[in-house]
Amino acid sequence: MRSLTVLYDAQCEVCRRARAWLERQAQYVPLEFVAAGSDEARARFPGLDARRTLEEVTAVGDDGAVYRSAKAWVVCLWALVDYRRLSLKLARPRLLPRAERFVARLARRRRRR
Amino acid sequence: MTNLIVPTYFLYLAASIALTVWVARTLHKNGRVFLLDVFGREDLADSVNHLLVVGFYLVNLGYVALALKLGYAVANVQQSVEALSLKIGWVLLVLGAMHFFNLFVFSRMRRRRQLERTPPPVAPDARLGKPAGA
Repeated sequence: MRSLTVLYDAQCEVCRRARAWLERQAQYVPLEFVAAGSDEARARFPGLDARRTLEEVTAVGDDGAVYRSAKAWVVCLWALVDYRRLSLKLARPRLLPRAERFVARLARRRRRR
Repeated sequence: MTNLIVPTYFLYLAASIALTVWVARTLHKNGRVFLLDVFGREDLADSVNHLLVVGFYLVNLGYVALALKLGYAVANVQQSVEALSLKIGWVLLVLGAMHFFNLFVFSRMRRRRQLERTPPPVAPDARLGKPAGA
């Protein structure tokens, strides 16, 4: 994978902050950010369900691999020089379900507002 | 009573330098493979290998020179052997420590390099038909 495009909810403060944080980190794999549900997102990824990308963060590799929710987070961390080790730990079978629950809870809270 | 201190010094220097050269050569010869794996380029690997060995020589010979002085007279062969073994023992320990430190540096470099090559740790949820992005 040579680049990773992250579809995030540009209307959400937490998501924008997360984007800003990710952009500041040193990257093994360049990260690109596109507002979910935008015309650009639709034009570049016609195969993705736009509503779903607004509900959960989605990362798409240049190889066409689509990662959603906690997996998108793990892949974003994997793209970062200082967090790749952490991403490998998070991806272990014992931790991934917890990360998934955590991210799902965050997403629910976000939707309620 | 003869003073054997100068011959002891010479023996010490000869043994210490020989040991340093031996360890440095071992490091140079066997470290190259690691560095080639890390850098992937022969010229760069050889350059780093050479620089590492120079540093290794400097530290060890520096220690050997600093530790030369005995501080007491050596009256007979027995004392000479004892003094030699004490000094050379320290040199060996310093060499050993430096050697393991070098190995540590090599393996760290290699681990870092392997991390760079690691594929994403999670399987994708889906795959888009055509390559995404520009």
